Amino acid sequence: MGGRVKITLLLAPALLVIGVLFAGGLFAAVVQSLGYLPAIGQTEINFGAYRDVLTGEDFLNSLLLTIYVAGASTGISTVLAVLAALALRRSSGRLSAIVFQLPITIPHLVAAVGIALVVSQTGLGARFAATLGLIGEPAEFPALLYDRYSVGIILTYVWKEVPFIALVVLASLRGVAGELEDVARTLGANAWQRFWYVVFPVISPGIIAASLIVFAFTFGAFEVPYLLGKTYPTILPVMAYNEYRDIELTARPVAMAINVLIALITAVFAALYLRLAKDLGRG
Amino acid sequence: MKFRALMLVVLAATLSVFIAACGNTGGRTDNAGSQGEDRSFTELEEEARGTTVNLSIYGGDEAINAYVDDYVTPRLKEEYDITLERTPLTDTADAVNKLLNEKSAGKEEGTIDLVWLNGENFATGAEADLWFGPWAERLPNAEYIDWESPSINRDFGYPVEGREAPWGKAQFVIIYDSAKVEDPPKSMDELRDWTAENPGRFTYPAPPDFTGNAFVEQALYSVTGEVEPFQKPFDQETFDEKSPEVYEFLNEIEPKLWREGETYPESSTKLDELYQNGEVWLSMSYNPQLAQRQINKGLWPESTRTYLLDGGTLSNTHYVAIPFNSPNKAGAQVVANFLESPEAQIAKQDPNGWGDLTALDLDRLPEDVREEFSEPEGEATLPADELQENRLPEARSEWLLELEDGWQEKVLKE
Repeated sequence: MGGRVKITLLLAPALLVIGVLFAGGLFAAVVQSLGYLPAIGQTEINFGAYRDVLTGEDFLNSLLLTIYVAGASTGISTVLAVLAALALRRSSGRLSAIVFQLPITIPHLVAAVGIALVVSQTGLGARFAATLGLIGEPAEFPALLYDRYSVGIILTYVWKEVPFIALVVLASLRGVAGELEDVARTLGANAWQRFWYVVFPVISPGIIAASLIVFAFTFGAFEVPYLLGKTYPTILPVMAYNEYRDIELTARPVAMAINVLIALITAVFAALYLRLAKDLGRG
Repeated sequence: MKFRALMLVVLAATLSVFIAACGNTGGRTDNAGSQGEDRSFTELEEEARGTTVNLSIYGGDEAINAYVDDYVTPRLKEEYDITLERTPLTDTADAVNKLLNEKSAGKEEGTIDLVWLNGENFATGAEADLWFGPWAERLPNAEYIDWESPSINRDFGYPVEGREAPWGKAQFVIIYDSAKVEDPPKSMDELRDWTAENPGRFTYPAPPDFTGNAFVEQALYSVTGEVEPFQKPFDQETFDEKSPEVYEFLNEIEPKLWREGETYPESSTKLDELYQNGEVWLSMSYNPQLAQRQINKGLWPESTRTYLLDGGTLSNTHYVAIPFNSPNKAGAQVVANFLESPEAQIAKQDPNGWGDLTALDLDRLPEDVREEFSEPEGEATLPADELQENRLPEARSEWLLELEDGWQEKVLKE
């Protein structure tokens, strides 16, 4: 009992902040998405904004793009991170710490600008390629920013998230996995068998947790796609922002409806993911 | 006795009228948002001494920021003992949104004293009664301003009614690199041919960017050959009749734009960067002095030139307004008055600084002051009278909003 009180007390400050700022904001968003805006004399509750959003083609286009960007970024980052962690686990702690901790300290905004400077058609990469004679002039460099396939956005996310996932995986690898693997080796398991039957089950909860965080983050993040994305379609958070800053106030419920839908979709994905983690754990 | 009773009644009546009157004046100062300014300027100056004024202003132009920080702020401190705090905005609509939120939350004491705006932001705010006023025509320096001119007393067609003070004027110009382009397109027809010959070398910022809006509006005037209908209140029938031509034109040139029109630069700053990098050969601006400034800074090629379209280009006035819940309305008015002073306007016009056109009517200024508003210098600028003679009025805000929405639907998404 005493333990429980202590836990509650320890959690209280954090819960208070999350409760007031996050739940409060979400509540205000739900209310406004239902068309309740006393400032412009709208006090009637209705689902008009949701109907507009869900029946329009724009939302679907944005949703597909968002799932694509978040999914591709998460998938690529996870694979690269696991490979990197496996490669680095035997190395000294200092090297991996430097390689992996540096990008984590750099804000997404700065990362996006940095990537843009390197991969834009007048960027370092283009000039370098032109100097080497790979392309005739810098403008022939493939368009990687504001492009159909969101290459710039995904590159930024991969650069930022690989170290994050890798650190989590490294932590679980440095634990019991090494010893178990040695046992498997003495019992005659080959490299693939050691990875699939011994190492992977140990690190999979870490991978799932870390990649879920990355997915949820990239699904709802705003700044990188805002800087490096196409004008249309945009990913959902940018779409919500564009509606929010619309000078016509009637667009406000639509912006809020999009925000509420982003939260809902992320929650559903998280639930599915956790379910998967549970099944994996059991298996 | 009767006389005394009568006296009492009269006295009581007078007193009550007096008290009521006092109450009224009290109410008026407190609730100035709807009543406007009634203090004398000397009183305002007195009250503003030692206070802080928060100026919310678009922060994306270094020259404007430098003008405010290095020229305006120190002089206000010295002459009026006012501390000016500049809050940079990415988009003025953010400030209007903030005020709307505050209005709906009943927040009577806000954080913005003065905001730089015009056009749709002013109109939206005015609809929601966000602006304090009238006050602007009572400023001492307002005498140098031609309040009779529709380019001053109407902001994108919306009546100003003393709720904002003119600060400067802008005019739309096209910028090109004369080393790469011999004969730049002077009309939308010529632009069509030019983009066909030079694919990928032209683009415009995506509306609702301010400059992007202007380009689409300019295309509307040029393609329809009409200006007059768009000065009138919005009418759907005319819009449905005229606007398809513009979108048709913009869609026609789209495949020949930068990146085949698959995406557009999101701001005029972005377009300027593309021009600077040589990705596009034409740029556009609401500041006729921009090209010269960028050349002087060594950012743009020396061969950069500015020109106007045949039939003239859009021109508008920009203003400063005081929000209903400004905590320092007196200070804000003193600052606005300073911004309108001839010396501040002369400094603002310096092409090595901001290079913004003056809001003052030069005919109203004393001779010696008038001479200080010198002609713009440099190869890349246009003479003041050429700009003056080729001005077109902006369409009313409602037309612009429809035009922007239509662009999103019919050009961007198709």
